[in-house]
Amino acid sequence: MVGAVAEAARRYGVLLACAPGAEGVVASVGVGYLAHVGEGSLELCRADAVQPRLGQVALGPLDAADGGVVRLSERVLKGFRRKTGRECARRALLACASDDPSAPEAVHRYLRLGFSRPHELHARATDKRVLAVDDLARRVLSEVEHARQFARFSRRADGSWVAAIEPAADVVPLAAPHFARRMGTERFCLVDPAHRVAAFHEARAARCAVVRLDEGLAQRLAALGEDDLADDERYVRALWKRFYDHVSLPGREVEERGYDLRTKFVPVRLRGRMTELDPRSDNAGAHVPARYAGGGERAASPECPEHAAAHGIAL
Amino acid sequence: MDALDKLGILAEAARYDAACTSSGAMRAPRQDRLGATQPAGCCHAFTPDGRCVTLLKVLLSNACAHDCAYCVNRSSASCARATFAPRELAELTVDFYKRNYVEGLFLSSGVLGTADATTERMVACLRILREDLRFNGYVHAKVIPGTSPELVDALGRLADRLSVNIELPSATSLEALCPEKSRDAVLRPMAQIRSRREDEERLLLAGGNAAGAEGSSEAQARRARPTTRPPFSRSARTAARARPRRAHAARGRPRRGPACPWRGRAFAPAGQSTQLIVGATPEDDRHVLSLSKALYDRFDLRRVFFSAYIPLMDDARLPDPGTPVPLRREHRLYQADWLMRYYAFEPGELVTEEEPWLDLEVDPKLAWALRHIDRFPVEVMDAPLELLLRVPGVGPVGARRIVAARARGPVTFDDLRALRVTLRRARHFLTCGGVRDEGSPLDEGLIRERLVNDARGSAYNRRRAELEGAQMRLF
Repeated sequence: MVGAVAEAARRYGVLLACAPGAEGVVASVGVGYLAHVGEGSLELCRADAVQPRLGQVALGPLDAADGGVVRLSERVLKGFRRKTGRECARRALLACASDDPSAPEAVHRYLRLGFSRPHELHARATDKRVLAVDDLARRVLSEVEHARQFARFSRRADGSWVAAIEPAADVVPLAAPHFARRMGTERFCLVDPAHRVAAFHEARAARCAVVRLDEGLAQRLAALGEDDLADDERYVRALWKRFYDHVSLPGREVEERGYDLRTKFVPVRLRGRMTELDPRSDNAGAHVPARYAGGGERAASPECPEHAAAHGIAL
Repeated sequence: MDALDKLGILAEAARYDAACTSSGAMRAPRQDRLGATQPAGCCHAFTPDGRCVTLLKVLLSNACAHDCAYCVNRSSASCARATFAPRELAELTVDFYKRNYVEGLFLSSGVLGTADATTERMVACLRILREDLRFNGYVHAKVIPGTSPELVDALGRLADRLSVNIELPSATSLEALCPEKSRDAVLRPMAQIRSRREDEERLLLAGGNAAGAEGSSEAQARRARPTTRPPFSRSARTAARARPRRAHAARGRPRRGPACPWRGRAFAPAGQSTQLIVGATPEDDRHVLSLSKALYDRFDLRRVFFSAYIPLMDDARLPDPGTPVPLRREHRLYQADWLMRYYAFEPGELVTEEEPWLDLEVDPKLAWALRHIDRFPVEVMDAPLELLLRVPGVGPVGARRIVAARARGPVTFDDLRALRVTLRRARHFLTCGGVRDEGSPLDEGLIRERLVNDARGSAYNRRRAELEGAQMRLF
């Protein structure tokens, strides 16, 4: 690929397509360096949005699963981190996860700027190249936060957990460490059918394994949240729905405020998989788990005067 | 009554408590334990009333021996009552946590007979959660005024955050509306929590100083050697205190700074908070803000929460049912509280003896800037950070970005827009290289008029003004 890019760049501009994910984008920047192609002669784009301009040759994408490509991306990123610091490298990586068609080129320009003038990267707060990556990173972080907030796990009959989310960026690899911390004792799978990626976690493992999937497997994994569920799953969902429906305060509804915070904070595309917003969650099913079948106490109600008397409560 | 019905009753009974955050504590995952906590917390759902759900906020019981006039759970109220068994609530917390519905538990309760009897049940619930179910997530526990110090201590060792509700802004109001509560009974556990946390902090810092080494390496020690001991057991607590000293000595590194406030803490690592009801009694905003400042200073509170009174009770001592909920007042108080905590404003700068109420139409920072318009505009290129922070539309992040950007070269209004400064408000109070924004009028009166009209025109202000309409202040 390096030779092809160098050859094409002698006569034309090169439009290099990138496979989704950090490896594809960062390694493509590395190919540009190895081929000694100037910044102006090389442009990066997503593999599913290749549209060469007049005088441009389209090449790529690199195979992101290839060991050489992964090693090249690691090398580039390591060099960038050494030159510019951990925070700039983190932003570049976040921007790589964006679905925005401009992301590969924005990262390309950012890395070039960092390699050529590393000490200025932090101070160039208003530079368009810096702003572009900052903006992409901010939006990706927002999607990571949405995944942390709104992924809903379901318990399967075998005791494992599964959650499907459809974020607007490739954030499963970024959100997986959070869930590994949170659910360290559990075996779970977090799947994003839109980006065909899943994070698998074995009970007591320190981290998740992130795996790219084909279309069919991604869809099958996403459907696991509704199939072969544990006996108590419907009841617990109904409990959550009941709780959600009863915590709102009167006098503070949308019509009282003139705006709806849910519009701002809960993207519509994520609501379909949220238990509390699914009317089917009202149905608790026939099975009541033993731990919830009236094991508690009634207090101070007319049916339970002994309890009230014991605690000195007026009925 | 099964758990579904009880949950409905007890969630509804707990919803008037405004304090519900899962922030302020950092606890790494532990071997064979479920969960972790993170300083920023996490919101898992947004309810139709615009609040976020981060914890399972329920009462252990809504049966209450007290008869506070404003409370829906008061002993004289006629309502359905229920009580969770301690294990039932602990199981529910874990079930919700594993499904990523919540970050943990917010545990409060009506007074089941006595404060101590109730707290014993709360402690039993938390012991099951922490020790039997091995839950390592976030817990916020409410301390009932009148609880004995030993039980407050036990609660603090199991919870991340404690809170004692001060309930009302003055002792007179408290006496009038809550006959069973007294100011002393509320402040005593607050003082105990502060004192207990200070003792612990001294112990932790002394451990660091004695070794002459880094003061915050408990987490590093834990990463290097995952603990298998239950973190809430006595032996683990002792170890947590001892660990920093050993780790420092072993590493022999120079001290870098004070310990992180939550690291190594075993007692209420996320500190304490309180809540007070506004709009039920006649105290003005000046009184409320001065009180919250005093509470922050005296008890080292993390937050003071304000809860707008919802007039549901027919009681001569309270506003009539149907009176609009003072939502805007609550909102402005939160903004003023934020300005005191993060922008170094004093209560006396936001409300004065002559103007003891916050302006409902305009946010407190903008109101302050309009009152002191002679101090503006400030020059972006050389204004100190403290002054930039006083500019409406410029927050701590924006101010830091401006300082970083101007070190590189001249900053224009377009740059400010790119830095995501809210120019709609800020443009009137700034100059860039001595030049004012072309969209900002020169006349102070026009600036005032434009900003106030903008504020009045917001959907929120329009709707609230419609509802509150000709409603006069109650007091």
